[in-house]
Amino acid sequence: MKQVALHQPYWYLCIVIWLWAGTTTAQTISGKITDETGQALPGVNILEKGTSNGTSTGIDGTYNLAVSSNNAVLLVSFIGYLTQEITVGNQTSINFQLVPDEALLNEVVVVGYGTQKKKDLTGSIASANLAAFKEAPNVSILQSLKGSLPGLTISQTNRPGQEASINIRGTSTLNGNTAPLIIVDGIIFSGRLSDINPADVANVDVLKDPSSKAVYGSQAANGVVLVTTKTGRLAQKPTITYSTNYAISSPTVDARLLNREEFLEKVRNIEYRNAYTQASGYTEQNPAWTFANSDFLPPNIAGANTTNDFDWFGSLTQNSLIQNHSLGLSGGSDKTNYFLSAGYTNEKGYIKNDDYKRYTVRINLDNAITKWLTIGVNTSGAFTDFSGDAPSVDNIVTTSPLVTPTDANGDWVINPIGDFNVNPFLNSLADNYEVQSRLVGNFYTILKVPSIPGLSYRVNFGNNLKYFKTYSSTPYGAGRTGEAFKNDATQYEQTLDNILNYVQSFGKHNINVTAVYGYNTADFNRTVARGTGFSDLNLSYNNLALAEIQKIDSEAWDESLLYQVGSLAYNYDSRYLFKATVRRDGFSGFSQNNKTGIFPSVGVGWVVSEEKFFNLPAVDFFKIRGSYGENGNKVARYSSLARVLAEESSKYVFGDGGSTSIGRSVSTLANTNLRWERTEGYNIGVDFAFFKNRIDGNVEYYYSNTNDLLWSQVLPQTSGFANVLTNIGELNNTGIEFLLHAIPVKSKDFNWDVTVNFSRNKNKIVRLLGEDLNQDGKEDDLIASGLFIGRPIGTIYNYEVDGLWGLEDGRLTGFDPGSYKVVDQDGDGKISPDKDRVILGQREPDYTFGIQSTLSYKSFTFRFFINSFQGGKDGYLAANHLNGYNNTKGNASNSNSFNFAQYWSPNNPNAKYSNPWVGTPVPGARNYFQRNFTRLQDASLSYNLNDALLEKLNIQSMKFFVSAKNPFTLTQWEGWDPETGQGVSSFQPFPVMKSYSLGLELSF
Amino acid sequence: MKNTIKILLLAGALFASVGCNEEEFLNEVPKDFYSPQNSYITEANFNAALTDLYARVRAIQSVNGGADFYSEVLGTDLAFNARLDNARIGDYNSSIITQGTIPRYHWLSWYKIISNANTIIGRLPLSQVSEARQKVIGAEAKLFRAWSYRQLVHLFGGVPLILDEATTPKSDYSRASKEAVLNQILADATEAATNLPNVATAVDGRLNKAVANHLLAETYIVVKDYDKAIAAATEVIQNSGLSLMTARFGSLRNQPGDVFYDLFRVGNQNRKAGNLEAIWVIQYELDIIGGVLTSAGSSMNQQERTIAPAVFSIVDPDGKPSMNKNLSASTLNSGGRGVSFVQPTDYWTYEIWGLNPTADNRIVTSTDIRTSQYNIVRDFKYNNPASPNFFGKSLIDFPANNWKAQRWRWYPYPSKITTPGQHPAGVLDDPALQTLKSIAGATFRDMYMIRLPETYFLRAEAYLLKGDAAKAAEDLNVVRNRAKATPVTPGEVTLDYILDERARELIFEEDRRVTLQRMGKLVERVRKYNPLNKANIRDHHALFPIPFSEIEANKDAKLEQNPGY
Repeated sequence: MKQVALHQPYWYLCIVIWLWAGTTTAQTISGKITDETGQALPGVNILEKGTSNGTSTGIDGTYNLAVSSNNAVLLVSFIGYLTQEITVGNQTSINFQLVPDEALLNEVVVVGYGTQKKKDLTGSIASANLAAFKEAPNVSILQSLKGSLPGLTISQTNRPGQEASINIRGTSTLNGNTAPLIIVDGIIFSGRLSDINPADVANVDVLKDPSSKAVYGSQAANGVVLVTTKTGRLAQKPTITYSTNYAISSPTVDARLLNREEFLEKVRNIEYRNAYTQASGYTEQNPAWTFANSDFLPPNIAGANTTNDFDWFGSLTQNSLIQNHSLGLSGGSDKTNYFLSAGYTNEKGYIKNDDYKRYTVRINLDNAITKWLTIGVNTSGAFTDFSGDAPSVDNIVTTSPLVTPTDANGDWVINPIGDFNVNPFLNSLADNYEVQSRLVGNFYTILKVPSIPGLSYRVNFGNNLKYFKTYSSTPYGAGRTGEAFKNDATQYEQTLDNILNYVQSFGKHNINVTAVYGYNTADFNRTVARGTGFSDLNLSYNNLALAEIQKIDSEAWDESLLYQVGSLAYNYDSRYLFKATVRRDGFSGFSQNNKTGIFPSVGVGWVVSEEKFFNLPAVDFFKIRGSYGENGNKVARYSSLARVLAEESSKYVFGDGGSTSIGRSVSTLANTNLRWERTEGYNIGVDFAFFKNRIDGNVEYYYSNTNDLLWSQVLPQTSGFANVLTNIGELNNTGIEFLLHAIPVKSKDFNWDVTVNFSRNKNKIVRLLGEDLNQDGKEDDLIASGLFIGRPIGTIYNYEVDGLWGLEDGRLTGFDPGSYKVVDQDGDGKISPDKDRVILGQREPDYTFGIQSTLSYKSFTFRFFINSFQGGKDGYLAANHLNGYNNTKGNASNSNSFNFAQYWSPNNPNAKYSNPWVGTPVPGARNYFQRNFTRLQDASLSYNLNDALLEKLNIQSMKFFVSAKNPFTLTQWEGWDPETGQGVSSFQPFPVMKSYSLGLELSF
Repeated sequence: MKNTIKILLLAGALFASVGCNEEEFLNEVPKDFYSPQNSYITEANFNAALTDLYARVRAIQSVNGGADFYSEVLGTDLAFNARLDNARIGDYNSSIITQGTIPRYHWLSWYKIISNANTIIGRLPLSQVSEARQKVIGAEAKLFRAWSYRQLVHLFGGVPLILDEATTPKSDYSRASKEAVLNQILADATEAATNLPNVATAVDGRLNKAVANHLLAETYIVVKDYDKAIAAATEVIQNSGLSLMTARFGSLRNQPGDVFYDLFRVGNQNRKAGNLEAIWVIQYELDIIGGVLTSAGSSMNQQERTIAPAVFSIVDPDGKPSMNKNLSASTLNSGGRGVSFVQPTDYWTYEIWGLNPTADNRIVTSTDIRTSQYNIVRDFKYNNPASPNFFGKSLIDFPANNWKAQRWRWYPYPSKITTPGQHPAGVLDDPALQTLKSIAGATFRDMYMIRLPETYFLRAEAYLLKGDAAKAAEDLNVVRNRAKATPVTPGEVTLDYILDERARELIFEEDRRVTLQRMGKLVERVRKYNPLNKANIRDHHALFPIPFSEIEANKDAKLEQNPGY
């Protein structure tokens, strides 16, 4: 034991040494452990019961263990096998043959308030293959789920620490919440999944179909993501795992701001009527014209006369660096198991100062105090740090290459281009502190009623406390009079679940009954103090009373949810499956008349392959299942109430030397009938396994219908109100998904494993207000809200653009050369919104697919993952438009833009993008393009150290890996990224990054 | 068995701990905002509701860029987009359109005031406010409603007439006749004229009897009841304790200038400051929350920024910046920190003063103090010590290259839009040099909504339309005499003359667009005087279009569009 410690210089392992050092050696046992067929089993845990003294078997299945006395009892455990106990007595050699644990071989999934064997499921639940993304430098667990599960869409991110959005099986709401419900270790999790250390996560299961979701009733319409963190295992010797990776990232696109020459050319193009000669059709430069005749402000005119070519984007961006470290300790005695971990992530952003740091700690403990009482705890802390203000990207883009950030004396230039745009470097000089802390303490008790086997009662008590602190001060704020603020917020959530569970088998009849009664509350408080006008900021944000103008602001809310659930699962011989649940929910945010709702579900399944008549030898498993259920969607709190607000803009001071009068006005209308949005639907699925499980997978078809859609109805503002939240109409989603997993090659040295997933979702509005006011015999669309009967939510209804107007074209009134040639659909010679807009397509993709593959040869493993979104005929559309010029000639001339877009000019008459500074009478006209892409999202190569070497080093396993993220993307889309939908616009230029990383994983 | 009992006891205890009253548990009580039920009870509540209306009018008329992009003057006979491009009403056909932001901004903003006023009026009888105070508060809210309808009816024509609080969603509005809207203005303003206090006793900045009578005078002209118009105007002129300022007063009275200059200096607008001709003054208070006027980045009245020329952008013939340190300054020469968006037309700069635009007009000989060197700045002198060849020399004698190419960089401007020497310290880059930071650009004083000369102009208009040109001339001459201008003769008085006189006196104070649209003169005078818009204004631009968003969302009834759109 001490030998091991010598190999490890890290102080934090002292605790482990301490754990191990308490044993005295009295007797040494050796032996060999084999499986049911007599093959040697490496990696089996052998533990002296009641101590932490243990070892594991080597490659040949042998072990040596020194035990304290001959009263010692050995616990032998291995995943997939039943744990065995044996008293040492005076034996010195003990061999074991382990017996497979049938229960464990049947994969178990988390289903909400319990678990179920995967083969007994009647609904559609997808379990993530986290191992496939283990080598990727993923800061968030979401990145490991992205694209890998059918029906689950996770958005692309482009900022450090950014939380991706999740969508499951299409959008089932208009204005309701679209995010799925996230449950971590059985408790509702309202924070950022990116605050969880990916190394702590054991499983992620996704509930997709209405019946599986129904157990979470009112919040489940958008799907449920169940995250289970790691635990130790009973009778397992302590294992320490350390993993780390370093990644370097750079943008996936090679974008930069226009350099000096390109910038000057742009200004000539803006002024083409003067800078070029009319005789040449504005293609030859006019020698009489100089930049002094342009809209340039003096600094740019001066800059034009120098050789200045300052790269503002280049100097405020950098290669991004990510480092991850994770340390875990897990193990267990006969009564207690534990998992402890600590993680550290540091991500340096592409934009300087756009950094993210995360520290996480976790302790998961489970202790059987008596035969009938178990208590446990899942606690964790996540501390994220976003401190440091990034330079304003808008100002970076605005600033011209002809000017420099500092003057001849080396002092910062405040307004480099001479207008009110501030030097982007100044922003990053703020003293900024931005930290979010989350503390989670979930405590549980399980009581097993001895006289009624199978009956247990569990109480979960979940506590979640979050602190948000944003403090900042900058002498450059508030027009350089100095600005500082402190923004403190806390949120506390509490969950209490009472879960009564009865599991029993009567012959071939197996039942599992669950009843739940619980609540969930949240309480939020915020205080903001802000000061402007400081004589100095030597005390930074710590003494805001020094400000001449002091503002305070505060915010508070609470909400509560109450629920009862009953569920019954029954199967006969694991052949005929049945499950029914009913949930009743109450939520404070609904109107007085509609506080509660009831959400039922039912599912059935038939494992055809279990039938006696079934004898297709190639088919190992074949199950048909179907389910039906109802789910709900909540609204934001206070949505049904009218609000009277006292806004900052409603304050006034009467007379000279007067003081502040506070104004108030009604800001929203009440809706006393606001109720749950209800989604009902069914799911039909087939699970199969062929050829000795070499091929397996599932196919799902689903249909869901949402009624009483939460909808922010657009009102004529003649009423004084812009909209009101209400329930209307009907929306449906249908889709097909499949997941196919195959092992084409399986041999001693070489294995090849491939998984393909495919999803296709069709979204359609069935009914809206049910009115036919124009009396055409069909229900009216809600054009003002962009909603059309029979079409998807993301329908694009806009002007059709047919290229750009040229210099010589006979243009419609109000259009300049270089503006969009908007199609006059009705041919009346003018463009009007009611007559000339048409349906152009939709934003939703037609289908998506992912391919994951793992190839391993001896100690090498190569994995890759391809993700693809396809729009079909007219789907996955987005506008791509050059902007960022603030639309006036003066701003366009003085500020810069990115170099992707070839915009119209007389010298470039066939450009794809309109000239962004010319006038158009239809400012909303845009050109739409498909965002279709196929991306190599992840690729990794890892090497496992061979056993001989491991044994020499006395460690369990050691792995080195290299990986790449987003190295290649195939797309026709121009600009920043198809997946984020950022086009050639210079607005918010945050690129999607590609990264290459190097990592190590070690356990002993 | 013992264990079973223990377990059942423990389970029972845990279970009982969540037992609660469901109704109470799910009851929702907002923590940080009010509801209409608890917010319109006391007099203080209603005062807060009225305060909101003052803040909203201020936002529309000045904070938010003079009713959005200075549409109250841009594209009229008085001003045009200095940059000569299509934006900022450079082209009526791409700005004043059904989906345009400008008509929509006006419609939404004034209807929100009407909605909020209706809530006050509707909830007042149910409140704890005494009957006597109900009358005053109700009158104040009704005058806001009348003022809003005045804006809407002149900009859009007959508009939906809404007089009750909306408590449920509505989308069945239809247009009332113009007469119905005008009659409602008259009814509301009459009630206000009866119940509101006199301007002398009203708190500075608040609506008063004179505002109501002024609005009555204007509206009676529109309904062609000239006698009532004259009576209402006379009530303002004779019986309200108002009179034109004729002697120097206020914060800069001891510095060179004249009384017209004094009217627009910092601190000189409110009655308590000695100003006896102010009828309704939009309030700004330096660095007091709600005063809006702060150097700390909150919204301000941006007249200086948009109207004053961007002299800092000029580069002298030697290639040196025109201004010291390349910064505009708090001086008459610089005009504060302008960026040249709203340029007065030659009609205002020269014609109404009898000047020739092509002549050297740096020295004006007129006796009319409104065109004195203090009130219209007609020269710009280079001010960069680092350029000794041009320091102190006139731009007109030594024209800059980039000024020759782009005349927007400098043009004569009225000094009422800036506050020379009175910019607050927070916007000064260097107090000794009076240079300004680029965040400057606000006009740091209270703003007139109505000033007594306008009431004289209304009465003159009523007399003229009634056929009494002599009386009309008399009223015009009250204002002209104060300005030391030559009196006008009755034979010279026409509606156009009155508009000229309004331009001389009230530029960048009156809502010129409303005046012109009210008088049916917009298209005619834009074609005559506006160099940029004369070619693109069309007959239908005499009225704004009803915003398309309103027509579209108003699904249960048809909102008729104005013809031509």
